[in-house]
Amino acid sequence: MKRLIIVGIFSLIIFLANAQVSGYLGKRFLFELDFAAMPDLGNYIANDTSNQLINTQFGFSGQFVRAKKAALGVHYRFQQSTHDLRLHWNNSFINNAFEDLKLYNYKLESAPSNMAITNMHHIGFGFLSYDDGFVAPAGNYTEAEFGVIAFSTYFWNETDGTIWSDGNEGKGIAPYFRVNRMRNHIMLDALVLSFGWSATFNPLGIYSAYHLSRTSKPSFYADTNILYHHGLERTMETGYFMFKIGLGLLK
Amino acid sequence: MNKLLIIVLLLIANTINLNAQRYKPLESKGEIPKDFLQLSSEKYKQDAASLDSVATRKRRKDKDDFYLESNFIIDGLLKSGQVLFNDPVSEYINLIADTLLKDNPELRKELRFYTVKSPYVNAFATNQGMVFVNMGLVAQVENEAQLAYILCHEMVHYKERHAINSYVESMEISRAARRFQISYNDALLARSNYSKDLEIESDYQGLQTYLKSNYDPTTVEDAFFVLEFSHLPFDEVVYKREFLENQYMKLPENYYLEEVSQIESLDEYKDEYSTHPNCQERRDKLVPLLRTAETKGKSKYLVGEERFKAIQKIARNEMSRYYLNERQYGAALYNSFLLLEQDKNDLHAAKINLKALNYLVKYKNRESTYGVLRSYYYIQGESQQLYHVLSNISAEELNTLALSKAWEFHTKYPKNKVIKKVVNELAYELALYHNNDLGKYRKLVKETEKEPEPDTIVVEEKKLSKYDKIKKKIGREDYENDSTNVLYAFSDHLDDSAFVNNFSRMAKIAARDGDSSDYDALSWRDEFKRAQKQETKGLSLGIDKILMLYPRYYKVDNASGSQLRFQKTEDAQINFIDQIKTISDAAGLEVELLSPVNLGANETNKFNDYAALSEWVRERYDHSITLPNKTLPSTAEFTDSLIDVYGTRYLAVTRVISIKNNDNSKYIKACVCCLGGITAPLAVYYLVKPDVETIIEFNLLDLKTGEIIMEEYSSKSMKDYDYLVKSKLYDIFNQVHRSK
Repeated sequence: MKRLIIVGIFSLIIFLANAQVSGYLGKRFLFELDFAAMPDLGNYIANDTSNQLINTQFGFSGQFVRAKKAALGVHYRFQQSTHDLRLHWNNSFINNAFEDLKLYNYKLESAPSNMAITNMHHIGFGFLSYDDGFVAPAGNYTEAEFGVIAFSTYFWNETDGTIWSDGNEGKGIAPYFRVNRMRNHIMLDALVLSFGWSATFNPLGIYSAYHLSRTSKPSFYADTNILYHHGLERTMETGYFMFKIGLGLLK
Repeated sequence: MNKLLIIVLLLIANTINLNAQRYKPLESKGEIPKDFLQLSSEKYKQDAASLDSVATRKRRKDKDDFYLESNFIIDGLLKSGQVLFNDPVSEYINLIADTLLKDNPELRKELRFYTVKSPYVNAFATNQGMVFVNMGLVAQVENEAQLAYILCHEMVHYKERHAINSYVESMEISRAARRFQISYNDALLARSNYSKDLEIESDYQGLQTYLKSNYDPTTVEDAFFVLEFSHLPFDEVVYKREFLENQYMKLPENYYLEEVSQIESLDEYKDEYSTHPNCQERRDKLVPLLRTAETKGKSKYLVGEERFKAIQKIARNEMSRYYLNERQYGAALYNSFLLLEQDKNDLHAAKINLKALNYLVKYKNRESTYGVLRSYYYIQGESQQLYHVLSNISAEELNTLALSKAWEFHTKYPKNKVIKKVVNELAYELALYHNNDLGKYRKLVKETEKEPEPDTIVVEEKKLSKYDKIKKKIGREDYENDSTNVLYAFSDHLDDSAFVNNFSRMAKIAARDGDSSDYDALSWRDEFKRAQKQETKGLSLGIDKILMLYPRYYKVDNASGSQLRFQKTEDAQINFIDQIKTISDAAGLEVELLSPVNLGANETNKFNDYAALSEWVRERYDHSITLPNKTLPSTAEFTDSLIDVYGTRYLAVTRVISIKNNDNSKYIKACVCCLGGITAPLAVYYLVKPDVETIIEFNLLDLKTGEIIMEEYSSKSMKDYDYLVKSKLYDIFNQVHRSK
């Protein structure tokens, strides 16, 4: 094990100490605050609506330039999705859920004010390839990002500010593959303004959306399983395509 | 006493010889004039401040445009390294101007005279008071008085503001043509008539200034002959066959013209649409004034005849060099022929001769003489004979004769490195392309030799009859065929062990190299792989210091007719030079800039170095299409010393071009997107997206070998953001500096 650690550290040193790499005026690290947004089209497509007009993601990322046109990226993004249930009366699943609520003596009048909240933490790493004619980290690049979204979903009563889903939370991890197509615009040789778009493929999210649409009636409302699938579905439909902007610092 | 005389004579002879050996291209001297240092934008602002506020808006606009364009374009010439100042020729021209304007000191103060390194016969004056005289004109005039008259003519152009008036008039004619639907030809005719009037005015008024001086008026008429026959070399001397041939290898008779074509005047055309009137017409208009002019006490030389001859000799030497630099090998050879006819011991002419032959051999061997040898059909006068021979001679014949000639010169000047280098290159070429075994060559002994070897062939030099010539022309003669003839070319050198050893050495190198050592010989697949590797990984050259030649930045607006955006170009240029310092510091590469933009008035040496290297680079690029990568330009012998001066043998040439295009297809694309319904937002994208392109070029050359070590070219469809240029250049500097 000790030997393995030594070899690992040695490899990392060699990897980082690559003198062949240019960077931008010798700067090979980029730290960036990111913001991504997209109108919540997903809900409309799914015949759903939301009180969230746009889905947003905040986070930070880093890039390490490892070759003339290649870099490695790490990403963290946080996203919260609030999903208003008032407008879902026509949705058979929600209707059934409220039927269940009656059985459990929940106050029906509070139902219209309830929200489904999903918190998502995107953690990923990526391989960046800069376009011909550019030298990393300046200019246009395409990134293949791999990662996971750790999410938790619960229902929340907007009126009295209480957790509505009986203390249950749907927690889970969804793997994703994302393509980021961005341009790094460097100013004053140190600041980086980046903009572009990202498209995410989230297989479990797609599965859950399919699964939920076929669920005629859940065993009981706010079941962890339902919350899990609901959260998974949200990880997919609130982030499959985003416009991104970032502000960063070169080091 | 006799001994002393001999010593003095020997010393003089030695000095002459040293002078010949020490030929150096003409260089500028003294302080760099303000014309060269001041920014174009400053000059433009000064000129624009003088705009007449009473004039109409359009006229003011025309003048403003003229000031902008003329200042930037003339500065382009001043900063090209093609213009000389305070050199012997410019000084001489200035002395003539002093003589002419001794009674008009104000005008004299306003005028600055410079020499342009060009072999073409021309002179021109600018609105700013600069008079440029081409070296070709100095080489061709018959005497100082003719040059003085031409200067008088140019002075009038300046005094009467002909340049700006002509521009404004031309603009007005264009507007009138559009307004009144005047045909293109009529508008051209109107412009041409106006321009011709200005020329006649300059001739006439110039003559009046001239006649006030003590220059001889009888020679003015002949000055027009100089212009009329300026397309011919500086002398008409019958071409001698021994210039190329040697006594053992004669070229076939059909390589020679029976007679050269007649000389035609450049004026034998209709000058209807020309900017300049016919020389004959110009001459005729001055004749009445010239006939009545006072000739008593007038002279053709006021500065001095000896000085004129010395200056003209310099100009003619320079012209040969310019021809070589422009790869006009026919002209360079005939020029060197004329110089050698005047002085058989002219080492400079001999070197020009050998260099021209060497390059021509290389081009002939690669079957690509287009652009380096004009067709004899277009040449007039005695030089046509040489062009005809050069057109007909085979590559092997030329290579063989050139090597033989080079060896003769080498024997005469054994210590001359340039000649030795030519010998080696010609031997290498001969071995590589034709014959790598000297054993194939035979010795030919002429009848006149006393002890002929029994197995040698004896050839009689007989005079060919008319019918022999016809037979040869139609290929029915018993004349020895070319290859046999070629085999006797080295008869004189085969006993010379130095020649044999040298040839064998070069033949070995040629055999080892083949042509595969050439960078150009890479297959397209190898080339692709190499380019791909360079694009992804780059090079690691391990170089600590480079010289960078005038980094250029152009802002071009194709949307308004492929125009250079002068002001923006200058701003970007200055910014770019500043950036290079930052980038090179970050990359740890020492970059010494040789640029006319940021020089101090006392940095004339640097200006000269910049000019010399500019010539080097221009010629090197011209060779790159055909010749191998390791090809040195003809001026290499004069730039070799710069390697020590600057402590590096690597020369970088870089430029950035930012182009704004006018993409009319964007409207079609937008329409198509709108029709697509869901793709409608893309229509906005196409309409808003600017059609721009940024090209970044960088080449690194080895001054020692001529090799282009690194070639980088990048074109992006985006604006020339600072970061784009900086990141690219930093990467390049990094590749140059880093070691494996």
